[in-house]
Formats: sequence, structure tokens, C-alpha cells
Amino acid sequence: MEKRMWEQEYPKMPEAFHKALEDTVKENVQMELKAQTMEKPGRRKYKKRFFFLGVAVVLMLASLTTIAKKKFDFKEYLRLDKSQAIDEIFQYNIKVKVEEEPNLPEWIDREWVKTWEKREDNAPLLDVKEVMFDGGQLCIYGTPTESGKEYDLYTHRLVINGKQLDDPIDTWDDGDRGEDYIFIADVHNLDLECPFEVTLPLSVFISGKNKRSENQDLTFTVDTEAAVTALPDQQFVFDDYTVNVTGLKKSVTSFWGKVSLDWTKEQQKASMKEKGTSIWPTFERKDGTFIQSLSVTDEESQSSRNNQWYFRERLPSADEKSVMLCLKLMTGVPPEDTIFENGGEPKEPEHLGEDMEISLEP
Amino acid sequence: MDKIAFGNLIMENEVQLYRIAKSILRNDEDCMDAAQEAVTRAFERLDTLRNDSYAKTWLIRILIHECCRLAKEKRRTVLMEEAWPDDVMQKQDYSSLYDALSVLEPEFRIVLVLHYLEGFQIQEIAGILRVPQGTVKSRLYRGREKMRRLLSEEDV
Repeated sequence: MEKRMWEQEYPKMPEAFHKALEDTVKENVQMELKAQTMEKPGRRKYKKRFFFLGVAVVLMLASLTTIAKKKFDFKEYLRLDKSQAIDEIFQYNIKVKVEEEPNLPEWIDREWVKTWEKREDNAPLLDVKEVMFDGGQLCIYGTPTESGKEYDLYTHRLVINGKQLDDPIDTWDDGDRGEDYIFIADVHNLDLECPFEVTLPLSVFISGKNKRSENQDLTFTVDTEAAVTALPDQQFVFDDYTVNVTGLKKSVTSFWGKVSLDWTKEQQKASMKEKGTSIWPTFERKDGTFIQSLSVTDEESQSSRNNQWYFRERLPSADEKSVMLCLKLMTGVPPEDTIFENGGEPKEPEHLGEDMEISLEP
Repeated sequence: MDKIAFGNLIMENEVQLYRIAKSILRNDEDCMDAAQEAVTRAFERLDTLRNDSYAKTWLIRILIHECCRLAKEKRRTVLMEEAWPDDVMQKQDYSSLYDALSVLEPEFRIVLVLHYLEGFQIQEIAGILRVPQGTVKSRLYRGREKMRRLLSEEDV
């Protein structure tokens, strides 16, 4: 599923919606201002407030303009720091080869393909600027070439060393700039070793028209200093249950594996009295800072059953020694009329038992 | 958060609010009604919001709640009138993507829109919808499979 496709094809906001929302907001804000004026005599304060609001808006617009003009920073986009370990998993100005014949999925109607626009030359439409491969994730950043500017490019397929992978990749474009393509593939369970060959089978759409041009397959070699470290299994035995962390691996940007919870059905029932309660594992830094979850493969997501969960998390820093595993009790969807319970904020889930320190050292 | 700042936040996210409403309600007028109602309710309850960083997801949750309530109300009204005027939906030309999305059950639609269109992460969606992350993942997976089947004739 590509964000660009969604952006293009999803219904656009009608002007009437904007107007209705603006009126409602104005009405509510004006009510507030009126109430403030009545409460506190003297308009000077409000003028001052509006003055500051005006200054803030101008400053905000100015900073947005600066951001828009700033050169795209792929590391920043991927939320990675600028350490040497991170530099080593990046590759720049990648040489691409255009395949003579694009490889089409079997189910594509060949008659339909014949209607796609032919291009006069077969120059690459995408300039692959940077590739990040750390052993778990493959991220590709490119910009359209001169000929590529006439087209919108997508892919949700990926070929690695000649083997086609089913839907491992998402295409994103940077909405603010509209000139950057980012392809992100989760390959943590492929045990890839550098160098390896990647083919991006690009679907090509003529910009601004709902028409296809012929596909273009771009092949290039990925060769970075990626290293995946396998970590020992870890077990935590409590009175009522045992937690096993297995298949634990880490790269310089993420760690992944499986959490299993073993307890008897009776114990589970006793611990989860509330109907609709479920457990989910989360990871935090030792100081309680949130760690971002990354998606796992569809197969792993589907097989997360019977108190087993696959996880893939962002490594807070390349030299992180350990993280805390917390099992949280999540109550199911509440009845609609209780949606504002707890002041409308998400209810903080309860921790099940003690948090566990997971070592990230071999 | 004061009401002026909250008003700015709403207007900054108006496109997102429309698209989320549109994932539950097909009729633009209904989307407008739901958004206006949600915004009014949010302003009324703004003092209950204790953490400003939750403001956006809180507003989205109120909007989803309003959209679901309106959808339910519409269904009830139509049933009482014993009529089904073209599925209470606007006769309008939409893209194949949106038409395919409309065929899915609301729980899949909303998760797909929040993730693929609005870029929310699984954990954030779980927070907005108050469902476990596993449920979000499985809805994403199943919704995507359904969408892929529906769109298979038209997209590579």
C-alpha cells in the first residue's frame, strides 16, 4: 500500500468542510474571548495576547519555510543519530542498472500492459541517492531524474538476489517536498549478508493523469557494514508465570525477537478478571523512556497468538546495554458512552507483574 | 491548552479530520456534521485534557466516536422510515481505492486510513482506538489483504 496512491485517490477535503470547521472553531474561540473580556476588564491584555499570537504565527511560518528549503536529510527522516556506527550502514550515490524487460507479476493482464505508454529511451527514472541497510531493515532514498520528473513511481514488490518477496516494502514520498522517494522494507527475517543485489520493480504513472507508463526495474548492489548480533535467550520465572525471550537479535538500529508467556489457563483467568482484557509486551529504556515499536511481518503478526508475540523495536542508541520489557494489561474497547472517562485521555495500562531487564549484550 | 491554541491545532489538522471522518461516513455533509459536533464537544471538555501532547489523538478519538454515533443514528433513522435511499450514500464518483475501502467493515477502514494515509504508527492507533496493538496489526493485515483483492485488477 503506498501513501502516494492513498493521497492521490482518497477524496479531497471539500471547501464546505473547511468553512464549516472554521466557523465552528471561530465560534468557540470567540466565545472564549468574550468570556475572558467579561471576566477581566480592559482589552489591553487580549490585544497583547493577539500580538503574541500574531508573532508566533509569523515565526512559525518563517520556520516552516526554512524547513521546506532545508536539504533533505535521510538520517534525520529515519530518526537515526549521526554516529560512526550509523554512518557505516549507509551507502551513497548508488549505481543503478535498468533491466531490459521489467518483471511483471503473473496475474497482470498482458492486454492491459500493452496499453501502457512506451517511453522513447530507457534512462533510469530514479536516482538512488542513499541506501541504509543494517541487517534488519532496508531503506532506500531516491529523487526523480530529469525524465523521472514526469512520472509518479511506486512499488510494493522487491527482488533480492533474484528472489521476489511478496509485499515487503512501502513507498513513501515526503509530502512537504514532493520530490523525494523513500522505500522502506522490513527484511529482518531474511538473514541477508552484504553484498546482495536488489531490484526495485517500479510501477510508473504519468504525473497528474490516471494513466500508466511501462514499468521500470532498477537493479543495484547493497554493500554496507551491516552486522546482526544474535543474543542469548532469556528467561524470567515468577510465581504464576514464566516469560521467555527467544530469537533475540540486534542491529545498530533495532532489536527483534519473540516473547512467550507461559501460565496455566486458570492463572490467566485469575489475573485477567475484566472481560476483554489482553496482554501486550512493550519495551522501555531503564529510565522509563518510551521505545518506538517497528512493525513485524504480516506472518509474524498473524502468528502472534497463544501468549506469543513477535516484536521489532527501535534501538534507542547503538551502545544500549539493556532495555526493560513490560507486560501491559490492555482493556478492550470500552462502551461508547465511557469514551470520555479519565478526562478523555488514554487510560494508562496496568503493568502485569514486574518489569524485566533484557540484556542486549552478547 | 487554551482554546486559541486548540483552535489552531484543529485548523492545522483539518485535512486529517476530514479524511478520518470520510473513512467512516461516506456523505460529505455527515462528515461536516460529525466534525462540527466533535469540535464543539472537544472545546467544551478541553479543561479535562490534562496533557497537551494528547490533544490531537484525543480530538481524533472524539471525532471517531461522533462519526460512529452518527452512522448508527443514520442506520436507525433509515430503518424506521423503512426505506433505504441508495444506502444513505451520496451518488458520487469516487476512485476505485475509496470504493474498495467503502466495502470493508468500518474497523478495517479506520485502521487502514489512520496507518496508510495519516501515517500513525501501530502503537498510536492502538492508543486512539483503545485496542491492543495485536488487534491493530491483525486489522491492518486483514484489511490490506481485502483491499488487495478488491483492487487486484487495477493496480500492480
